[in-house]
Amino acid sequence: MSTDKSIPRVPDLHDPQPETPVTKEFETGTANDPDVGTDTDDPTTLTVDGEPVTVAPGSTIIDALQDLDDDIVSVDPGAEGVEDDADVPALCYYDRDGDCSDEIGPRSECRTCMVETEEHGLVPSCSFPAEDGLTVSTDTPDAEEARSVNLDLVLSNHNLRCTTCNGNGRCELQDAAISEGVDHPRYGVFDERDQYEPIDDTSSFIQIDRNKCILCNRCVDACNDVQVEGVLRIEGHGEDTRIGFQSDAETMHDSECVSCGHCATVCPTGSLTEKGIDGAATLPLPGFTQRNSIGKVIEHEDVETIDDTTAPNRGFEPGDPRAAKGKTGLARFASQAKRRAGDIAKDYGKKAFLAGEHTAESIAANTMPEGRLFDIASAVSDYRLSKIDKQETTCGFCAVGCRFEMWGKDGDSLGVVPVDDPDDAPANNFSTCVKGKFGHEFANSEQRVTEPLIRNDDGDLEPTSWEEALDYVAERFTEIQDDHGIDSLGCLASSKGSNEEAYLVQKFARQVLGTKNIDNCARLCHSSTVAALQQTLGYGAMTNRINEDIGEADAYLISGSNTTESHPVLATRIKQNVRDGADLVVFDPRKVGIAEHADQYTRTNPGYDVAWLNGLIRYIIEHDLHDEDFIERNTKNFEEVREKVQAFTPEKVEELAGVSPEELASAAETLADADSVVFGWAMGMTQQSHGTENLIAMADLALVLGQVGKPGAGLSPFRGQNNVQGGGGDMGTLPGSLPGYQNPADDEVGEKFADAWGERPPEEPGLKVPEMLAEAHAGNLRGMYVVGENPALSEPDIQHAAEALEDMEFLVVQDIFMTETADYADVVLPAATSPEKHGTFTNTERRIQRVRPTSEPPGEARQDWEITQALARRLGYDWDYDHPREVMDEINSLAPIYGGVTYDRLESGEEHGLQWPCWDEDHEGTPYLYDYDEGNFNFEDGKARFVPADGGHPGEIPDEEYPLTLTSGRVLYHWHTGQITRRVEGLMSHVGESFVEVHPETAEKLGIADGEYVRVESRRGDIVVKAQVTERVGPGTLFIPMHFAAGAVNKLTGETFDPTAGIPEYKVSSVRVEVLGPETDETVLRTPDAGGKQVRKRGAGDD
Amino acid sequence: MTQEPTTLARSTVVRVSTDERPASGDRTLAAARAAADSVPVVRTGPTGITAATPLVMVTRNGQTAFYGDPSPATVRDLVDELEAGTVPTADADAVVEHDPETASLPVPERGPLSVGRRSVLGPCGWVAPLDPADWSFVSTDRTADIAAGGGLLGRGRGDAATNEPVSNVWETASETDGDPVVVCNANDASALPTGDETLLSGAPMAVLDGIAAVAEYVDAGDAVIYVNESRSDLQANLREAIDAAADTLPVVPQLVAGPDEFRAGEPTAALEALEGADRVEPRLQPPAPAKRGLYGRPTVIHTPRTFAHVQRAVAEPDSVDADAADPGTRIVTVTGDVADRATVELGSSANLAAVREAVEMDGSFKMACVGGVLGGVTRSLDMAPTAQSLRAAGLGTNGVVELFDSDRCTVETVGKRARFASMENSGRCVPGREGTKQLAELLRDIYDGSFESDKIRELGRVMRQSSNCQVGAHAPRPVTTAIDEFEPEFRAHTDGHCPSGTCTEKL
Repeated sequence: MSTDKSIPRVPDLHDPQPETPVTKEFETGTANDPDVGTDTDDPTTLTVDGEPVTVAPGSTIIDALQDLDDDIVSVDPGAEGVEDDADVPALCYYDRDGDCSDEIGPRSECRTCMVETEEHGLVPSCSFPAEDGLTVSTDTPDAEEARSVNLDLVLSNHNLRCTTCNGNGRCELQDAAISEGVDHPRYGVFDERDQYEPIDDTSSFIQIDRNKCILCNRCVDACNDVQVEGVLRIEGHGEDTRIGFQSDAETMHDSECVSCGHCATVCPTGSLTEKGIDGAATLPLPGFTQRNSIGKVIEHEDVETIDDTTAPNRGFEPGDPRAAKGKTGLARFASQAKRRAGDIAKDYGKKAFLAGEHTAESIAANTMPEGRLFDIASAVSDYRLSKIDKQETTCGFCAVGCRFEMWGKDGDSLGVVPVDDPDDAPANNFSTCVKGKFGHEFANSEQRVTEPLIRNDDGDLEPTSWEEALDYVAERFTEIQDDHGIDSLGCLASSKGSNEEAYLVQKFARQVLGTKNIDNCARLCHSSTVAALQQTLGYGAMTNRINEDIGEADAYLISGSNTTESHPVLATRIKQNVRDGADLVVFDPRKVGIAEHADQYTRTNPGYDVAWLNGLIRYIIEHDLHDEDFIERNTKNFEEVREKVQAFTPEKVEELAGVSPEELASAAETLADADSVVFGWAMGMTQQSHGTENLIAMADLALVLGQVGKPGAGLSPFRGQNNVQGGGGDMGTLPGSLPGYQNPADDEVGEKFADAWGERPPEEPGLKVPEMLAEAHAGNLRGMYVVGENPALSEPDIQHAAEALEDMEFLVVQDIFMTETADYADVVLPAATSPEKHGTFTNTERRIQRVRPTSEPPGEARQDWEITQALARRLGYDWDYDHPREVMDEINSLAPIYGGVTYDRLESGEEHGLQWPCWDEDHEGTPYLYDYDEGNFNFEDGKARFVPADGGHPGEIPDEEYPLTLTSGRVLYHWHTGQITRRVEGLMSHVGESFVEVHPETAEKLGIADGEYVRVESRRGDIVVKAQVTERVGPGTLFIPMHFAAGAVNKLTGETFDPTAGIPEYKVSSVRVEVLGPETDETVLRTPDAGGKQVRKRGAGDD
Repeated sequence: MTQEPTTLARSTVVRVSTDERPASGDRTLAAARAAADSVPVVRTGPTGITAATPLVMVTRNGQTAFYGDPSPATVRDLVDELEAGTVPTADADAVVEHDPETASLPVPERGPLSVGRRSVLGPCGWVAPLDPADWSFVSTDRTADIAAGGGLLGRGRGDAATNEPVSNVWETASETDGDPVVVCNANDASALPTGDETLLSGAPMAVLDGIAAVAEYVDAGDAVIYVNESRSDLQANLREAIDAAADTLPVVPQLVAGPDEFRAGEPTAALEALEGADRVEPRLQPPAPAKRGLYGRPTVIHTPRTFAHVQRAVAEPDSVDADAADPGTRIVTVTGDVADRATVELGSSANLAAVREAVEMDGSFKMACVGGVLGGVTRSLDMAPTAQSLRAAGLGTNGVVELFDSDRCTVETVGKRARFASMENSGRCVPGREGTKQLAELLRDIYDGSFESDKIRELGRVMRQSSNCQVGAHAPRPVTTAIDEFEPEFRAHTDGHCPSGTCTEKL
């Protein structure tokens, strides 16, 4: 940086531009450009090449060019977008439609979009306002000269090595050069090898080659304005201008990058590329790579994954005296060596390759005009890209429902790029998070289960044929039911699989097995939300939309949601909106990422949320801030809540929840002042012994403020797994709830299903997940069919859960890996994962979207729906589905809220992603539930119900023996029990092992140093984890993530449940900490707390 | 409200005028003060003429004698004589009879001070710069309303209304939603034009008064003066002036230092620096800063020169001919191969060639670069100093004429300027960043025997018309204007021959 940072801004001048506390600190290196475009409220009419064009307010000339004729200008990003005969290249301009690309530019850097106006001479069309009456010509000699010279100037500083470039085939510079007919750029190209900057290959996911950079600044905008992360910046001036980092970091790996991938998504050249799809369109000769072409590379260092070892990355750094000699080093070496084995031959011949490649390059450069090189590169990329399978699909990680185009080749997943038409990605436009963009490599893991396994007489799992495995399962299920009754079996459906698969699992349970025992892991996440919202509003789901409502709210109350890590793409919408002026109030025991952006962050005591929520309601009513008309018109039982909250005086709230009267008042005033408020939450609210009460209080608060049933407002539970809304609820994978939340005890409903299935589903509610394990312990539940679930790690008190699984007479696990639960299985059925299947997912905003495969299940592994169908057939039911679309046809005939959902509609552009309720084929779906004026709550009288909420104390309160409070949660880079993310090297490179967050005061009191291993112990058990001393947690509170088997937090959590929803209280446990210091035993570190052990059960013949 | 002039009202006084660096005249001033008993000795600011500085002016009853850079002994004698009741005229460089209460420096008949006319520069060197009592403020009871109709154009590259009517900007800022701000951009960061410094040092009250009058006119409560971080002396001076006038001025500007970088003088880059940007680059326009400027607020940005001219127009509306194409005077710094640089003021009907009379050149005149480091090269200064005639001649308007003698190589001179532009540009746009680099390359190629004048002109045209800011747009100007006038000299270099014999090494 060339200037002195001590230069002050104007000291006493008011800045009226909104920012968040975090964005205030961003140093993007770029100017605070004004909004471009016309500033009138009316459309303007201008003349372009003699034709009148009328454009909307806020337009620039380029909008008019586009409106007039797509062939005039190339503005679409990506290779396909550049028209062959476009007149105006507009190279640096980015326009993919939608909110995301609005955040990017115009930088107006390249000036290849110059046009001539009668009024102002030559102007850049991308940033010049489309003034009324303007006369624009695109084809004057001056305009053409300017565009041509500027394009050549861009090329003069570009390393033109197309055939080895990772961006080949999707390079906008290459396409612009071809479309402009560049044959031999006036000023040459950048090919002085001694001036090359080394490639930054240090990140696991993103490669930087600054020699290809045209300084369009899109990546900086994508990082700062779309992701609102503030990692990249422009630095330097003149010839030294380059893309660098806002921190002192010199490399991507050392930067604060969260690997969302937006920079690579928007990069027009091969400067920032996704390593998964690098070289996808280059000349397929060994050694001819971008790395070798440049020759200088700052290398990446691999970390361990669970494909390498059972407790990856645990241990001391080499050189640390505590490191057990040899052990850590050897383990690391083994893993590195394994990973690198394939490269050894390449390394060996690397010098020869480099020499050959450089010679070839230089011969080409000296003998061929650049135009010819473009043609060769373009031909190569056309051919190579045609061999890649590309499908638009829906992300298989969280429930935001991001869509993108996935690339696959030879059965493997390569990576993702944005969809062509942003309408096909309604939740995310081109946005992704690290997992969605880069986390799919698990699907290619060598550790996938590829053949059915049956536990043999020795108690070990051994491979077998599908025939034998399926016969055996059918036989054992029949035996158990014959011997112990229908309800001695239970099924767990998956919230990760498709709607169709979940539907079939519950159908299998209810029709084929005839049991009422069907549940899924939504029990562990949002069951309390569903219970609370059903009681108060009618539907147990998010009332609104992600972009249109959450992205546009005037104010937020977010509590118990680590939004930036758990729902990163949704969080970017909130961060953008707060940066643009919305108010954000965060109440949370932990100062999570989203709280850093908040106008008000209030640290609460874990477990006392009803207190502050009721306190807010009390304040609002007392100060007459409630929406009386709305309450009168659309609700019942307001008086009961008014009475209930009287006890929650500011003093009481402070005593219980630790929220001061001032903070309470300020939050209440902010929320009451706003025109629209979104109430957002996740596990921090739900996973408590009073989870349902928490969310009843949240719903009461929204109703008191009248903030439901209108745009920009609503109650927004952020659902967790990709399909927890559909597969975890809508599909009836719940005890006591049929598909579409229909009551099995209702005769009309029961008869409808009886007609369709030939059997009426059981009327009584069955067992919930934790009850199943308890009943297994008690010997009443003898067998289970577990699909895509991992209770051995996800249940509270996993030692207890493990005993239950061990006690289980017959456990069938259908999954893609040998999970911690599969260790206890009697039969393991190898299944498919989302990049391998057709189906639908329903996201957190009730949007049903298509999923399509680009790769194949490995080995003998099969589609989940095929496995369930095969089992059903063996048990005498004539299921005959050919494709998941036929399952959807059955779903829409039985579940009224899915009544109008068909594959045909989901696949047609305009109706892409239907939001339920969607009653019939003519119904457009329901963007947001309920109506501010009319009510339309899902009760017969259309009125919402106020329900008085009461708190109480958490199940466990700190005492002398266990004086600290433990909470658990997620990290950005991992996913639930980590079975898929702990296999992705790049994700492990961000967060490679479990840890415990400790407040500095607590750390000092206990003598804990940052980075050392400590033992955390509860009444259930103890684990060893690495300490992170941080103020994210409050004094006396600890945090441990939930994703790791080594340092498994659920060894500590207890079996306290919410009485209504049965959700475990993961968020509050009492623990103590013991400093291990130099005594840490590396063997302990290297032994996982769950799984990874050879579980020997009774053999098949022993029962 | 009118102030009672102090220095100006004294019938007997010794003035010591220093140059833009106030400390420069300390020895002379000390000598005068030591000698003075009853006669007041006043330090005044620079006159703009650096030859014969410090300048001692001895005044009594409407008669002033001028002594350029006298020795301390001479100063003592001068003071003694004045104390004795007479103006010492014997060895004076000049003696001028004048109105005893004149607020403008009495101009001698000969010498550099006599060049052009001293209107805006009038107080410079004559009034006590930091004493508000020496100044008749207009902003206390008038806004810049009168000047708005005067057709005055903005002056200098740091002005957001360069060569455009200032009133347009004022109207826009007034009409746009938001609280307007007035910014005085005094950070040119180029040593060449010194008019702004002369005014800020010699007549800061004029600039402050002008700022306040404009602020009042556009209804701005906030004003800022943006100065170069490396000029702590100027900052201290201004700080003192602002503090002294704070009780009088209706709008008191804040003083903020910005980077000592050429690019930071561009008006929107100035706003970036004022907002605390750690890397300064110009913004996109339109919309102009008058619509969205500092922190997005409507912002009027002028140079100190413009504000001083505005103040002058308000104080004496008749001094500005509203019908002229470029009303008012132009302040021009003459420098280059001269013994001492001079800042003079020319009326719009004057001949620019008059500036040569203000300086002494050692060698014979070969060419001039007009308009600053990225100005235009010309053999002839025979033109009016107005924006229109300078632009018509392809020259710059940033108030600088560099005179070069016959030892100067044209190719080397303009080559260095191309290199300067390639180093100093913000890096923001392709014509500015890559264009300046290729321009310098094309000039280097001349030394390798290749002079592609069409290619240079083509690049120059595109840079001029498509750059985001003036650095890129003006970067080719020295080169293309020099080719216009000295093409044979360029050709000679392709044969390894430098006609002026100065190119000993390549660029």
